Order: sequence, then structure tokens, then C-alpha cells
Amino acid sequence: MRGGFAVLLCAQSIACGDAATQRPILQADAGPVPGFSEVFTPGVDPATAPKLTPNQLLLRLSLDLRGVRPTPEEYAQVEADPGEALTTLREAFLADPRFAARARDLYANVTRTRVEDFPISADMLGTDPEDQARLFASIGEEPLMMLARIVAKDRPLTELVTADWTMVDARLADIFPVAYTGDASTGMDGWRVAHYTDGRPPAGWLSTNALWWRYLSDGVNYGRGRANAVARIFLCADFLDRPVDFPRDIDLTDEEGIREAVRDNDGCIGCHAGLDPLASYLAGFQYTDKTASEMLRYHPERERQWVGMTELPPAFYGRPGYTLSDLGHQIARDPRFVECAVERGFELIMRRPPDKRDPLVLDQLTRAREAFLAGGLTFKTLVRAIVSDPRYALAEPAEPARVVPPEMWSDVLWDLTGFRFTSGGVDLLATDFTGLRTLAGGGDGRAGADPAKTPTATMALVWERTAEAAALYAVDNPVEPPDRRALFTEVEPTAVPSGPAVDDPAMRAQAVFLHHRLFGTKVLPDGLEVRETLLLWDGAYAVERSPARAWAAVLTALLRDPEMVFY
Amino acid sequence: MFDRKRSAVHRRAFLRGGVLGLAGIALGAGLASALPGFMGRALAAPAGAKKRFIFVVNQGGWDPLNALTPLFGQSNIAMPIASSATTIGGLKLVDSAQRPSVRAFFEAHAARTAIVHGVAVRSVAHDVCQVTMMTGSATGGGADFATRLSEVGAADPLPHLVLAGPVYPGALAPLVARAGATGQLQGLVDASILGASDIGLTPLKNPTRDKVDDFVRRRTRAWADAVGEARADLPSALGRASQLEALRGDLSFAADGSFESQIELAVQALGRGVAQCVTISPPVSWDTHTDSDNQQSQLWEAFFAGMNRLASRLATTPAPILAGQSNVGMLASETVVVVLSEMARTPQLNADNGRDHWPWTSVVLFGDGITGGRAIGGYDAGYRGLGVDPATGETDAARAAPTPTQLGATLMALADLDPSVLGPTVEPLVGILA
Repeated sequence: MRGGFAVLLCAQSIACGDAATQRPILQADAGPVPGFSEVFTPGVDPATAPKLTPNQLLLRLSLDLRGVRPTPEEYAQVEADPGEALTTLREAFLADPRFAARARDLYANVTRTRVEDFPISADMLGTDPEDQARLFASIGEEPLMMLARIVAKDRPLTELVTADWTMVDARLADIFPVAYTGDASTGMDGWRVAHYTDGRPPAGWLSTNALWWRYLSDGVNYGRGRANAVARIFLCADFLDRPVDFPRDIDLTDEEGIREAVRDNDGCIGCHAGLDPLASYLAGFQYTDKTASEMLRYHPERERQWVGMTELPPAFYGRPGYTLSDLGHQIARDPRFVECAVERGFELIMRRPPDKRDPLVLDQLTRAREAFLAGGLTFKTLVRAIVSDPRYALAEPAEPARVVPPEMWSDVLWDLTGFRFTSGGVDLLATDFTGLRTLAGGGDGRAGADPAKTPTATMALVWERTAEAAALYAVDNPVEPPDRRALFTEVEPTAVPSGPAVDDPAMRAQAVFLHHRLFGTKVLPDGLEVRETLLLWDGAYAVERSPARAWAAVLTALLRDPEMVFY
Repeated sequence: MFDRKRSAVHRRAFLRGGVLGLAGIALGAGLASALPGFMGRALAAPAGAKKRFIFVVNQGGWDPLNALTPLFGQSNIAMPIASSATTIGGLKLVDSAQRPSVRAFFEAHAARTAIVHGVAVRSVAHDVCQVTMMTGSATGGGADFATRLSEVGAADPLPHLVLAGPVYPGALAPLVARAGATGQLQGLVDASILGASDIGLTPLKNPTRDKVDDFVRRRTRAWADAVGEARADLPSALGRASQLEALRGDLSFAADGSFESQIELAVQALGRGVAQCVTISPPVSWDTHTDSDNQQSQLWEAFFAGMNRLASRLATTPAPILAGQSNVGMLASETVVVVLSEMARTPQLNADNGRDHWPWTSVVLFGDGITGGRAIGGYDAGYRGLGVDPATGETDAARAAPTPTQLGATLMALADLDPSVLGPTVEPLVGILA
């Protein structure tokens, strides 16, 4: 008798609070944002709870919604009419194409598909081994690009489980059993809408190769781990949260005994009655081996193999179905899908799970849910509701400041300087194996570890080196106004002042511009910030004997400023 | 033994108060007195020494039946062929001519090695078992044990250095630094990463960088002063980064990813006081669903060849000198090596001569403060973990099998940290501590 062990899972969970540190943030200028009513965290004195200044709120909105810092013009709009401008700009940011890219980055921590150890290789696929890193990056983006399209088209998030299309780039199109459909010019970095052609039922993410290559079933567990991923991703209902132990009255070396226990044992059935029928839906993605031909394709002929595996027909928490498409629609109709999307949206934007003991947080979730439902379940309406809530505009300690995550940092540098730290064509801030993503505080898709919420030594080093690289690029490749990336508007970076830089009006004006461009702050030409900035220029010039490289040193320093990495 | 727990809290308080030299306890003194000559001196933990840890994570699910669990003669358990039971230094083990390195390790180090059998991970899914084994929680709450243990070295540049393998630091993320799978940390430390850019860049000169660093430090300090003490995490991170940069030319984080290079770097990082804990992981998969016994045999042999090297390097590498210390032992005198895998493998072969996933496994502890030559826990006829009395280490049918949380609590106690942070009722397996 085979001693295979096929029962999943259910492990004891230990409640450990996410001890998000409560920190104050500098309140440098004006008071609260006009037009935002007074809602406060319990325990915080409403009269003294710090709120973001209009400029700080603009920065938070800009980074959260489109991943780049505000422009000087946007700061000017807010300074002229904070209430009106913040509303107008918020809507503009939500309509920005980069909003969909932000959604991808946020949801990467949900799908956990940005990994670099997919169970397939360029060699197996007959493609260039040198291209494997880019290929894996493409695989991990398949579900995320679907999300991006749904967000960009303002479609309901339920399409994540009901869509009859996928997204592929040229690399995936070469290897996946797909056919392009629709227009080639989607405006999404070469990604196009496609359909699988191997008979797999259409069910959004549930039908993608990427999801099931990330969540493999090794055959002994009959897809239960995958079923749990479905419950976690779409319903926020992780079976692993349930405190269950393996009953000791089962002989786990006896496969038949295990099967009986899963059906009949009180200690098992609580989880398996829900989990196993869910797993049965996924039988068509069971692979018999890890060859390319096996793993690239869906296997419709195996859809009924649940008979020999879980022995329970496909069903969604008691409601029977037949195909993955049925499962997708069942998930989309489940009220938990909406509840999960709202709570996840809160967590992704606010960078912490909602504390449901807090009645004000519950109120905020309720408002977001109502807006989400009224807005047709679009990501945009959900996010709009969250960032419009007064709580979003609070400063520390009521609302912890955020640390810039690596994907955002890459975009910030690109937006400011035109530089992206690529190596071999791969963004080092978006990859792990040879890159810097987790060293820069990014989430670990494989281990499932969350992005860092506080700075670390390696994050500081990443900021240091990437800032220098971006600064060097910017001075070597200056652009002229009115290009929004123009950083040298007052002097040529190659110009040498006749005396100390601090005594040169044009140099002072340039320093003033950089502070405004980068931080949104208006410093005085004869102020301390400008003086220190230009003293650095003088010191760097003395070493480098190059005005451009002296500006590179200044720009490096300013890009490493605390105001750049916290918001 | 409960006194030990209380003293742990006291010592922790001392450490936080900065009184490093006075509060130490020489856990290894008793063991050292039993050893002759040089080794006796080398293994005596000097007063004030902080316990250091190396976590060795074998990913994929190892099969202890190849080395650690000699369950011969049981009908439900198919032991690997060409294997036999043996006892070395009081430890009952599995011996095989194909795995001489396993035997060599225990012959040399059984007196400082303990095994915890029957640890229940309560799942057979890799991701879940891994996070459970590392943190005690299937959903990864809190922080992994290694990161928690590194808190006593919070002043080190890299309290928890992760050369390979998983880490779940949670709110303790500032204590953790990954080196990167291909040694990226070195590129950051010495700025050679700039050379990896697709766009040719001529880096700033180091004197210029020093001026930039001064500027950034001043701005950061002013910013942190303005926002208050709670925002000290950024200056702290910059400080650690500066400490690392100061190691340029002295310690290289460049690694080729091999187990050997990880071992060497781990030992160097501990020996220079750069890190309190290091996590390493052989770059192999133990997930042998086909031809399992053959593959596992090779894996165990290669792994223990590495373990022999690690033990040798720990025994011959001086520990860092701390303030107030007069005598310096070797790293072995204050280092504990924790060897684990997220799960074990089924007691019987599948149709492909493979072994599938199994939710009870064994863990090896090696080093200072461990009761050597002792195994606690065990397996019943169905290869399920037996209950253990945590105080004595004796099997106790009235209790549950050991859990990863208990293992973590044991290590916390060993490091004189408060185990109750892992749960108010968790009982450390103090029976295995010296």
C-alpha cells in the first residue's frame, strides 16, 4: 500500500499583531487640508491629531496613485487653491495610465507571482537561456497585466475570475497556447489581449498558466494548496487561519485511512468539506511531469480526475459546478469577494490591515464598500473612496508615513531623471535573483513576506547607489525645458561659476529649483538649504573638477533625502 | 529550568541597558571543563559573549530516515536500503557506507549535537510548512526565529544576515539584511553595482561620496530630530549602511551561491561581529518525489560534508572581542547551529520510488548550550511525532508532539531572551538545553 499523505493543511495560527510603529511626521507648514472632515483614530485627540499639509497630501496621492512625485505645476495648483486642486488632481491621478501600473505593483503582493523560480526554464522551452530572467518576469506579470487592463478599462474586478481573455507579451505568445485577439496597440508596453486555445475554460486569473505555475500541486496534495490560494486571493478566507491539528486516531501511512478521515473525521472535515471540492475544480491543471509540453497546456481530459483524488465533485462551499468558469462566476457572486476586495484595497493603500476592532475603521470600510458597489466594482471607485477618506489625510502618529517601495522608487527616479537601473534589459529594482528588489524592501513573492514598512541597511544602500546612478545619468543627459524632466532650468550643468557657488545668483536659483522640483518646498535663495546645497557643490567640484559631476553629487544627496523615501 | 527563563529576561534588560560585560553568563563553562586542553579553552564561552546562531534551511523537505531516524523493523516504515542503525555518541542514527560524511560529523560532534524528533509542522504544503517552521505560525505573524534571536545583536551592522533561504522579519525588518542570491550586497557595499547598469556610468569619487554622505547624514539627523525619536529608524538604517561600507576591503559579501561560499561568509560575518545570526541554505532541492532514497542519500552526504566544514570553521575562527571581554574563544564557543527542513517525507515509497510530503520532521541543534548526545521526541509506529515533556525531554503520551513554536521558544531561552513573546503558554524544550 502506498504510504502517500494526501491530507492538507490546516495549521495552527498564532495571533501576532502587526506592530506597525506609530511615528510622528514633521509638520512644517500649514494646517489641515480644507474640505476634509474630522475623523480620528480612537485614542487620538481630535484637537491635536496631526494632519498632512496640502502639499504632503498631494505627495501621498501622487505616489500612491501614479507612483511618481508631483510636478512643480501641481504643487502650485495646490498652493493656490488646496481644496479644489486636490480633488481635481486626485481625479487626474486616477485617470492616469500609471494608475493601472500601480495596481499591478500593489497586487503583486497578493498574487505573489513575481518570483524567479517558475518550474520551467528557457532551456525546456527552447528559448534563449540568456533571456530566462526576462521570460520569468513576463510569466509573473500575466495575471497582473490582466488586472492592469481591467483597471485601465474601468471594468469590474469580478473580471479577475470571469474574463475570457488573458494578456501576453511577445515572449509568452511564443510559448503559451494562445492566439492574439483584438488590437495590437493596447498601449500596455507590448502586452496584448489573447485567448488560450487549448480548451481551458475561461475564468480570468483561474485560467492562467502563471497562477498555477506559482502555486504548483505536486500530485500528492491533489490541488488543495492551490484551492487554498484561491480562497486566500479572492475571498481573504485562508484555510490556514483555522486552528486544526492532525487527529492522532488516523493512520497517515494508510492512504485509504486518510481518505476516510477526510470524509468522516470531525477533525478533518471542517476544512476539507470546503477545500476539497474547490480543489476538484482545478484537476485540469494537474501535471503528470514537469516537462514543457505537459505544463504549458491545460488538460481538459483530466477535469474528472477528482474522482481518484479528492473524491468530491467540484463545488464552491456547497454549490456544485463543473468547470473553472463555474468557479469563477461563483466567486464573483460571493459577497466575500466584495468584502475581500475592499479590505485588501484598504491594506494595500493604507499599508496595514484594517483593524476591525476600531469602529472608525469599520466606518471607513463601510463607506469604501458602498462606493465600490455603487461604482460597479471598479478598482478606481474603491481606491477613490479610500484616498478620499479623512483618515487617509492624517499624519503620524494617527497614520504612519509610508516607505517608498522599490517599484515606486524605480518609477520616481525614472520620472525625475530619465534613468532606470536596468542590467541586461531587466530593471534591477523589480527582480531578485540578480536584482535588488528584496534588498530594497520589496515583498518576497516566493516566501510570501510582505514589503518592508521601515527602512533597513540594505534599503539605505540601494537608495544610495541608485540615487548616484540616476544623478550621474541626469547630468550626462540633461533635457531642456519645457520637458518636464528638465532639472537644470537656471544654469547649464556644465557652467562653472566665477567664484564660490553660494555667491552666484544663478547657482542659487538652480538650487532653489531643485528643492522645489524634488520636494515641493520653496526655499529661499539666501536660505540655509540653498547654502548647504551649494557648499556641497563647491566641495564636490574641488574633488571632481567637473561642474556636471558636482551637480551629480548634489542631485545624489537630494535624491537620498528623507523626504524622498518617506511620504 | 524556569529560573533560566527569568534570568533571560534579566539579561535582556541588561543588554538593552548597554551593560554588556557584566551580565553575561558562561553557558559553555560546564561543557568546556569536560574537554581537554585547547578545545576546552576554545569552547568556553567568555563572559559577556552573546549567543550567535546559524540557521541552515534545507528547502524542499528532507528525509530524516536517511540519517537521523533509525526506525528499522517497523511495518509501516520503509527504511532506505543499504542502511543500518547505529549509535554514535549516544545518538541513535542511520548509517550507510554511501554517507560517510554523516558518520564523520556525528563522530566528531555528537557530544555537542542534539536532535528533536517528531516536530509537527501540521501541513504538507511547502510554503506553509516553511513559514511555520521559521516563525511558528502558518500565516507568518510576528517574525522568524532567527530575526528574533538577532535582537541581542541589534547594534551589529547586520543583526540577521540572510545569505540564502527564507526570512519573514515582520516588524523586525530593520534587523535583517539579505545578501542577495548572487552577492548583490557586495555590489551595494563597494558601489560596484553601478557597473552593472546598461548605461555606462563613471561613479563619483570616494571623497565626493564622503561629502554627499555627510550632507545626507546632517539632513537626516535634522529631519529625525524634528519628527521625534520614533522616526529614528532611518538614521539607524543609514548608520548600519555606513558600518557596512566601512567593511569594504575587509569583508566581502560576494558569494557564488554555493553552500561552501555561504558557510565561509557566515563564519566571517559572525567572527567579525558583523552579524548575530546568519541564515544559509544549500542551493539544492530536497523535494524528491521520484527515486527518493537515491537522491536523498546523495543530498545528505553532500550536506553533511558542508556541515563538517562549518563545524571545522567555527572551531578554528576566533569569536569577536566584545567590550569588557578579556579572553576570546572560538566561534564554536558561542554559536548554535540550527539545522532544519520545512517537512519530512513519507515513510513509504510511492509508485515512482519517491517519497511525498510528511508533516512531522526532525531538527538538529549543534553547538554551545545544547545537551549533546541527546535526542528528544520520537515517532510512533505510524511515523507520527510523539509528545514530549518539555522540562525533561522525555516522551510523554499525554502531551502533543513538539511544535516549531516550542523550538523557537527553546532557542529564545538559549539566547537568554524571553520565550513568552512567542505565546504566553508556549513551553520551551528546556530539557535539551545544557
